Amino acid sequence: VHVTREFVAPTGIAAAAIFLLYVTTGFRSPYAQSEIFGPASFPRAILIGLIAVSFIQLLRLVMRSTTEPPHPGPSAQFDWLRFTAALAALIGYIILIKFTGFLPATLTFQVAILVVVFGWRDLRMVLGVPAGLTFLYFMIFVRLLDLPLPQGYGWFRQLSRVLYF
Amino acid sequence: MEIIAGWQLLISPEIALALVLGVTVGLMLGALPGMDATVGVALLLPVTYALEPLTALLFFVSLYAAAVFGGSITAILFRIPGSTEAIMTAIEGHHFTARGEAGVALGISVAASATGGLIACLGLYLATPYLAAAALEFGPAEYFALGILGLSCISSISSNDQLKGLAAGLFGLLLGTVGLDLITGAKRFDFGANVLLTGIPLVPASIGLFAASEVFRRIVRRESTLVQSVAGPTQERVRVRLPKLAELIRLRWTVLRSSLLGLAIGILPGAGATTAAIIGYSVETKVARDPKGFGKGRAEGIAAPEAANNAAAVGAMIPLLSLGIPGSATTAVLIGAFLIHNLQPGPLLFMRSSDLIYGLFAGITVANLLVLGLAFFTVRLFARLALVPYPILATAILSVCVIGSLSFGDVNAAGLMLAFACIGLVLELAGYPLAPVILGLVLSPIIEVSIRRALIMANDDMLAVLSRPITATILTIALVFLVAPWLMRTWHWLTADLSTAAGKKRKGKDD
Repeated sequence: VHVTREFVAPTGIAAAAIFLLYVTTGFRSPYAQSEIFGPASFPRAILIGLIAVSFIQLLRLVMRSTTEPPHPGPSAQFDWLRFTAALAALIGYIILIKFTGFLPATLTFQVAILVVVFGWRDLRMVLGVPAGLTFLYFMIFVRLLDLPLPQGYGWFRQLSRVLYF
Repeated sequence: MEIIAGWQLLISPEIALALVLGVTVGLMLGALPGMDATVGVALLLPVTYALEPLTALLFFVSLYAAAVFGGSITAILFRIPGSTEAIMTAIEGHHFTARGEAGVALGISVAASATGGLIACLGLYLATPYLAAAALEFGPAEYFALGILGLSCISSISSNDQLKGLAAGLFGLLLGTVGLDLITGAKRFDFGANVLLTGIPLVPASIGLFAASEVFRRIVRRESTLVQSVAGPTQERVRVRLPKLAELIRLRWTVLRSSLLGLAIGILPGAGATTAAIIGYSVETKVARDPKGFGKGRAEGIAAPEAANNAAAVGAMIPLLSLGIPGSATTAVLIGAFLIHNLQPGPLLFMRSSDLIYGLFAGITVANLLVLGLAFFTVRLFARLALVPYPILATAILSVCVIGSLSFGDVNAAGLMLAFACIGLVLELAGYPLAPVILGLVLSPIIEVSIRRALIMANDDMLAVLSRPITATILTIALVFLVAPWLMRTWHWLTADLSTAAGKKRKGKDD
């Protein structure tokens, strides 16, 4: 049996489902005494279904790999470094927006994405695009739609209040 | 009277603006590869937070109708479907572009789309009130069966691998059980985090799963442009040229047939516009007196899938508005728009706020007419939009994802959106479809609460619950939908095997 990437997903799903099945033993409620169908029944039925589907998938993969010659599969090259950078930028944005408010955080995030993730170096574009987008979003979300976006703390809060009202 | 009242609601500058904006944004999103109606609705859900319910809902339904047509713009011009609904149009339409007749193909596409949508609107007016009235008689057992029917479509929307579709649907159902149990109040899968006690909110989950994960996928795969090859049509002045009257008359049966087919497919839970387009095209190739020319740029090959997919998009609104059951992934996300405004789609909404529902019907009809009108002015612009450098689009989309989640909730909602973006990426890379996840998330509470209430009412007698006539009928239909793709595949496999064996036998005799 050739261990391929395709085995990882159903194996992982089955393992996670077995763990969650154990977690359901803790679902208790005093009101569930009279019911056959308690708070754990539905999640358990789903998890058993997930385990069954994963095993059928694995069985199919095993049968295929014994009857068919192994094929290398799509030679997709994944850029996990760029993904990690984008993820870090997004996490930073979500944290930053709470402290600095919408405007400075959005501008910083967009510059970070263009420079770090997409490797842009042209200063005019790196500053121009985020400035334009942030202004557009400010007009739509704050001025037009009046959405309750974070204002930040301290000096940033004062800045936001000046701009928002 | 109610129908007229619905039309009267549209006489307002705010509503007119929402319709025009919805259609414009829909055409734009549809034309952008990787951005379809589902992504658009998910991304823009929080934008309508401040709007009146009818205005917000009309914005989304017009966006939905327009995005389905919008996909055909890049399909015809670049052979890259803007959305999956335009797969068949890409096959046929690009041959027109190669012959220098892109405008003709776009004209056929927009005319067929609008006609298909309008024919389906008749179905919307005729079928929805009766279904809603019938649904008022439904009890928990029938709603359980309807929920199962909604799930049964998973095998039909997961054409590549039904098992993966089923696993994704089950995962969605599991996500729907997170938080306090709605019947007993027991904590489930909260892992000590208070934020999970209220369950998984639909809006941040949809934004993460559809919009942010798509950007992540392109980042991971190093896709820096939406359209790789741009030579040709974008350099020319592309204009929509409506077909001549004789051509329209020639295509009348194709459009009518495909529209009715699309409407029927759209009403079925889950079997959405993409399925309708594929079946519409395939039926057309079979019923055509002269099947030559299909796949080489034939007008029927554009008219059939385009009429079918727009009719299906309208048809998908019927189960949503009458029963509260989503008919497709987009309508599942659309439920979020109702929930934001404290509305629960279904028969009760139909009875209590019939003016809103009839206003929606009128709005959907106008949206289809607007697609016809606005396509003339916007096609060229939106075709060029596909050439915007992807880093700009990605930055814009990711910012809206965070802002949207924040406006819906707090930092926790944004974190949840991010978690779902990662889940969506992992699922996509492993080949699992995303639409069943959101359908499962929406249907999970309907299925669980209904079956448990039905069991309490029937003194835990499962047989009594399942043998109710309507419940049993709906469940049988669901079973047919669930196993039909497997049965058909087995049948094809068996017949192919038999014909191969027969061929070998004949060859042996000849030898």
